[in-house]
Amino acid sequence: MADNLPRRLSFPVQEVQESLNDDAEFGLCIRGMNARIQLRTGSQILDLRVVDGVVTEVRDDATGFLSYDILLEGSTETWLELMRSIPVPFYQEFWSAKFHHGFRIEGDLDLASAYYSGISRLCSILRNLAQGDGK
Amino acid sequence: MTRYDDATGRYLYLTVDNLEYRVYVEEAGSGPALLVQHTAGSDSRQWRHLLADRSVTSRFRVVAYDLPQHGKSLPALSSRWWEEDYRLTTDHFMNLVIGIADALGLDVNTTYMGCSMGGHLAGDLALHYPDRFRAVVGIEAGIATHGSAESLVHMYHPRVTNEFKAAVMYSLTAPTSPEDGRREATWGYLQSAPGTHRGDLHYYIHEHDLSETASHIDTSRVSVYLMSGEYDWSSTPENTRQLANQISGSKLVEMKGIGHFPMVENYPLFRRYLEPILHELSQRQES
Repeated sequence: MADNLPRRLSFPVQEVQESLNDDAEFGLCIRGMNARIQLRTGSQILDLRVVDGVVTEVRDDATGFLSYDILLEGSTETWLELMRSIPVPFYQEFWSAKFHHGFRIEGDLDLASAYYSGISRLCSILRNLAQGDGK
Repeated sequence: MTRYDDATGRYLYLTVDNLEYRVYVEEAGSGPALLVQHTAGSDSRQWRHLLADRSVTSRFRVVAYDLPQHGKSLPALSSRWWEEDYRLTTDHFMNLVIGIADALGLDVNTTYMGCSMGGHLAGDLALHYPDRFRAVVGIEAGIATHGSAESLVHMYHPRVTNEFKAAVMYSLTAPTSPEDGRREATWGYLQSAPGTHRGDLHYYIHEHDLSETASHIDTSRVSVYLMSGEYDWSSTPENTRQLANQISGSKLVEMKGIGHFPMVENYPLFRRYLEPILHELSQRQES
C-alpha cells in the first residue's frame, strides 16, 4: 500500500462541518448557496446541507434516503485515490476523476457548475481530513 | 529605485480575414524570435515568467501577444461582436497568428510556441504553413480533443460565473505544482470575457483534428517539438504521444509532475524541460 494513501475514508460528520465552515476559501466559494450535497464514497454516504452559504448540517446516517441537489459519487477505490496526499494522474480533483475514472458529479448541474469552485475546495478539505491534516 | 519587469508592450493594428484588429503585444530579449501563444480563454500573462527569464531572452526575442478578444486585445474593431456568438476556427486562428508574425516583421527563423489550444495550433501550422516558422513547439498539444457540445454549456451560462472555468482549470494543474502557480494559472480565466473561453474551445474541441493528416507534416521543412504534462487530463500524455507517433521526426518531451499550464503553474520545472529544445534551436541558429 502506498504511503500517501489516506489514513481513513470515514469522515466524522462534526469534523467535516467544522472544517468546511472554518475554511475561508470554501466560505467565499459557496456564498449564497442553498443546496443539499450528497457524497457517496462506497463506505459512507454523507449528506451536507448548505443554507445561505453555511454548512448547517452534515449527516451520515440517512443511508441514501435523503434527496440531494448535487451528488458526488465514486467507488471506494476512486475515493482512496482522490484522497491521497499526492494523487496520481488524473485523481487530482473530482472533475478529472469524472472524465477518467468514472467519478459522478450529478444532479442540478447548473447549481453544481455555479458553485463548482466550492466543490473543488471540498475535495481539498476532505483530502486534508482523510490524511489527518484537518482540524 | 523602481524595479521594472523586462517585458515592454504596445499595440499594433492589423487586418485579418477582412477584420480590423488592435492587438496587444509584449516582448523581451533579442535574437531569433520565439512567438508564444496563450491557452484558450486566457492571455499573454501566462508567459510572464518566460519573458522575465534572462537565460532565455539573452538568446531569443520572446514575443507574447493577446489574441483578439483576450486580455488587452479587443474583439475585431470592425465587427458587431455583441451580436455574434464567438467561435474560433482553425483557419482564422492560423491567419491571426501569421498576421501578427507578419505585422511584427518576424522572419522564417521564428519559432512558434503555444500551449493547449496554442499547442494544437503548432501542429496545424506545421501542416498548413510548413515554411512560415523554422520550428513549432506544441505544449499540451494533442492529435484531437473532441468532446460534446453539452460539455461546454456551463462554460458560457448566464447563471454560472467565471469561477466555474477557473475551478476546472485548477483541476488541470498538478497537485505538486506550487499553490501560487496553480492559482495564477486560474487568474486569467476569472477575468476573461464570458463567451471567449467557450468560443476558443470550438477550435480546441470541434475543429482541431490531425488524426488523418499528422503524418503529412514534413519535419524537414519545420521542426516539431511536443511537450506534455502528466497531470493534463484534457490533452493527455497519451494524446500527445499519438500525435508524436504520427509526425515522423518530431520530438516528444513528457513532463513529470506538471499539468496543463506548465509555464505558469511551475515555471522552474517547465524551464528544465524546455531548455534542451531551446538549446537545440540555438545551436541550429548558430550553425
